[in-house]
Order: sequence, then structure tokens, then C-alpha cells
Amino acid sequence: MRIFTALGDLQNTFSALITGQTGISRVTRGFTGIGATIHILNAFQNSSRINPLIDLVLSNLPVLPADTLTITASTKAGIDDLERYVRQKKTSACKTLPQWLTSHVRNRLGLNQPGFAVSAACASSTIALAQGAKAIASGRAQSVLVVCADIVSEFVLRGFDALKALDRRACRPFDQNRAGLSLGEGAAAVHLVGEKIAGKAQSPMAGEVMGWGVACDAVHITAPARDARGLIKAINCALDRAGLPSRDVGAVNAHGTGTVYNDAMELTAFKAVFGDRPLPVYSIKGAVGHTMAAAGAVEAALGLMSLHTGLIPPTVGLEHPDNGALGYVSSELQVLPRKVMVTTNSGFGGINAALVLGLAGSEQ
Amino acid sequence: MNAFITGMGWLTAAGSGRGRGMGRFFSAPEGNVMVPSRKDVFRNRDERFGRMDPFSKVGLAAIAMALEDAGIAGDPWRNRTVGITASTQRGCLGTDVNFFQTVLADDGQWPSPHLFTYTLASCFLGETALRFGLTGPSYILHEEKTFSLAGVRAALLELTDKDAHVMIAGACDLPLPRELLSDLDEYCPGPAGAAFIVVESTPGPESEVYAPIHEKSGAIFVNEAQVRSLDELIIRSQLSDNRLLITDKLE
Repeated sequence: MRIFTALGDLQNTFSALITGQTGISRVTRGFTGIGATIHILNAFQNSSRINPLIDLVLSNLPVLPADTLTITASTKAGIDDLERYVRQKKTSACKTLPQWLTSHVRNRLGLNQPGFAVSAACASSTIALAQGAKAIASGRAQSVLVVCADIVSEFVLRGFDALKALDRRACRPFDQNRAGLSLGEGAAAVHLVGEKIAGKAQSPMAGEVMGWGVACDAVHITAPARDARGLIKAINCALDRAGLPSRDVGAVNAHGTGTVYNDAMELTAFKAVFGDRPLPVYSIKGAVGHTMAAAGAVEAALGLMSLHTGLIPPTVGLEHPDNGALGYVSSELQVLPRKVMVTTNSGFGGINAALVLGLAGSEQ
Repeated sequence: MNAFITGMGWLTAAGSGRGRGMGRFFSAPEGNVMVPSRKDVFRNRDERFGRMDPFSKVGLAAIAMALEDAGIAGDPWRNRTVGITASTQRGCLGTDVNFFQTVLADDGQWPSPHLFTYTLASCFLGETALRFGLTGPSYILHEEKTFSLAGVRAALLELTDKDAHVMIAGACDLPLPRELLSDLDEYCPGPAGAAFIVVESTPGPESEVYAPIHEKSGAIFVNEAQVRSLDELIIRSQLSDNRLLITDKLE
């Protein structure tokens, strides 16, 4: 698995996370705002930043089987090209189409299976991972590559600003004074394989997608259900699929955007599913921002790092925990007590998705 | 695993219709898709419908007709999990352009939050879920072709994997916005419109089955015959004359 965020690659991002660093700062790209951008992408001013961002996670990937199924996820893909086209009619807007990302990945890696691009708002890559895991569990595929990416653009920044969804400073997930999200850009490439390939692999597996669940609130388009019905259903489905009781879960990587209603909804869901036991809950969005469609896979990869190291990153930005978050969310580094975790994401349209992650095979 | 088609509805440049309305479906290659008004879709007041973007209106209208055709619109789902999978080629490109023009206008003072909400192609799935109480897995698949079978294929896999009891599956596309015509015309060929079917893993007692449908190695079969397009799927289902036989099998 590969990721790239404002804090660097997988190893660098995880190291920065556990020491409480943040990649959120002032955006300097011809438009202003606060966000977690990848500085080396600033140089790309006349072509979409989605290309070099994808390159950051695809470069040096080992050769994959040609029949690998490609699943991609992005909310707006190369939306900066559409901005340029509408402004100046200079560059093509074709990279705005999410299916472009699928073709690009397949062509670049020489994969011959037709793939597909999933779009489900901020739960897109969580659902893409679930789709990949399903394809393998059912025997429809033995090798699946999930690639997801989103960039910080004027389009998206102005949109969230217009919705008054952005914190004026770096976001503060689960804080009493949280005031909105911070956007981030990022990408992930996660290779999922079935048991046949895993058994022959030279290097150890990073982890296992043990369960998944997807559910819709059917309550509101932009706001989450206050009773958390969709997220509760998604987590319970994921646990059922994994065949695990909720007591086996050691921690939860929350969506934790820093918006008032999202974070409150999530705490409601976690208490409904896991009861009142003190379960470590954390969000990485105060460090890498909300990477939109990429969030789920970026967080899953970092979650597996937590499972390997036994360390749960502090929730960066948390200063005064919301009353409901006391005993769950911490601004300190925590120890992961078990070798299974849940990661969740929710998005516009009331969509919710959850994954149960564990260490592969005998490592558990 | 066999599933069963129990409803279908569409809205294309050739008109709108439902399977049991004896309408003739075809995804007309030319012509404009008429964006429906609220009265075309819902008898009752719906305050949000008029504010939705055209992509959402067309998609929601086709789904509403499919559900009505299946005889289950407005009914409680009796604890059945219902999801939606839709394919699209052009998604909400028109709304993207319209929103970004509000970013550029007036020195960027007043970007429209309302338009921004609809710059996600998956938004109309949420609008649909909200109106009909659908709580199953819902997502968009971006495809190279319009009226692709990808949504139907995904729906059948959701049913096979028991992640839903009922799926609404199909495709939705509007014509390219005129601002992008010269740029994307060759990337985005194909007719516009929306068509959806209702697929049930186990039809309810009130369900009327058009035809059995299943997926095998990525191919879709209706009544054991492979279909290669959404047009073919809908027409073959409409022509199906063996409902009694299927019902007998079910019993």
C-alpha cells in the first residue's frame, strides 16, 4: 500500500501523526484559504495536479498481475483542468471525468481487466475497498488495485466555504469549539489479494480487510442523521461480515471532520455499537485535512500502521474535548489494546461506510 | 444467483415511460432530454424537487417511475434493505460548470452553496434515498459509455453478496453542457437520459416479475439470454411472456 498526503508518504505521514504534527497551513495556489496541500504539487500550474499526485502513489509499485481489477475513487478528479477550461479554454477538461482515472491507472500499469470508478462522496474509497474485498471474497478476483485521489482546488475550497463548512483555522475534530473541516489532498494505492496470491507472496501482507458495511441514512442530503442510524448499520454490517463481536475492536478511526454535526453523530454511533467501554477513537483530519474521496483508503492504510505498531495517533487539533468525546478521543498518543480496528467514513447524500481491519493471518 | 426484475422506468430524448405502461423504451441517440417538473414526478408537494439540479431531477424521475412500476413506491419497505447503483459517463458536469461560473462571477464573492451541493454525481442517490426511505448501499459508477450495464452488474453483486434485498439499478446522463461540447464531445459520445430497473433477490408477495436476471463472469443474462446494453435489457424484459412460468418456479 502507498499513500501520499501533505505530511508525505505512508511512513512519513504516520511518523508525523504520532508526534502530533499537522500539514494544514495557508494555501498558496492563486486562491487563498486553509488546507493541507502537498507542496511539490504547487509547481503544477498549467496542468492538472491529479496526474503528479497519482504518480506519487503509483511509482515504484511492484509489477501487478495483468488481470488485476482496478477500482478507483475520486470526487472531482482533475477538476482544476475544468477550472482552467472554463476560464481560458486552454486545456482539456477530460481529467475531470472520474473514469479517466481508471483508464490512466490501467494504462500506466498495463492492467487488462476493465475497471470501474466509484463515487459516493467522502465514503468513495471506503466503498472502493469494500468492493475490492468483496470481489476477492467471492472469488470474482484474486488481485484488486484500489487507487483514490483528490486535490485541493479553488472549486472545492470555494464550495465548502460557501457552505460555511470550513474552520477558519486548522480543524479541531471532536473539540468543544470545533467549527468545521479543513480540506486536504491525498492519494492512496492499496493492493488487495486473495489467499492464493497471498500464500505465494515474497513479502508479508500489510493486513486484512475483515469486514465491510455500507448504509444510507435517508434523512438529509448534506447533514448526517442525528441518531446515527446509517453509520450504526454500516458498522454492525461490517462486524457481522467479520464475524466479530464489538468487544474485539481495539480502536476506531473516525471520519472526524471537525464539523459540529458529523462528530456528534459519530460519537452517538460508536456508543451505540461499542457501549460505554472506553474505546480509543481518533481522527487524522487535524493533521492531513479531509482528503475527500481519498480519505477512506488513506485512513485504512494508516490504520494498518497503527495495528502493526500498536500506536494510536493523537487527534491533532483537539484542545477541549467535547463532553461526549471524553474518555474516547485524546490529544495524546495512545496504545492500541487489540489487533482489530474499525474505520468509518460518511458523506453527502447520507452515505456511510465502515471497514473492519486486522493483521493478516498469524500476526493477529 | 437469479434475481428478478420487478419494475422499470425511464426518461430519454424519446420520452418517458414505465414497463407496465406499455411504453416503448429506446435511448434515442439524438435530441434533448426534457427535465421534468415536480408535477411530472410526484403528485404531492415536494419542496426540494424544484431546487435540484437537472441531473438529479432526471435520475430521480426515472427511479420514481421504476418504483411505481414495481408497485412499491411510497410503501414501507418492511425492513428490506434497498440500495441504488447507477452508472454515468458525464455525471453532473453541467452543474460543475454552473457552480464554477458562480465562483468566477462578481470577483468570487458569491459562490452558490446550493449548486455546490449538487456537484457530486452521487447526490441524486441521496435525494432518492431520502424520499423513499432507502437505506442500502448506494453509489455511482463512472463509465466510458452512457446507458452502461455497470450499475445493473453492481446491483446483482450486491444482491448475491446479500448486502441488500432489493436494488434499484440503471444509468443516468445528461447531454454535455454547451461550454464543454467542443472539448469533450469525442470523449463523451452516447445518448442522454436515465433508465432504472428494480431488482429483487426474493420478490415480495405483491411483486410482479418481468424476468429473471443473473450475472456470470461479468455478463448479464435476462431470461437466460445475454444482454449487452441497457436498451436490450429493458426491451427483452418487456417482451418477456413467461411470467406465469417464473411464478410457478418461485412457488
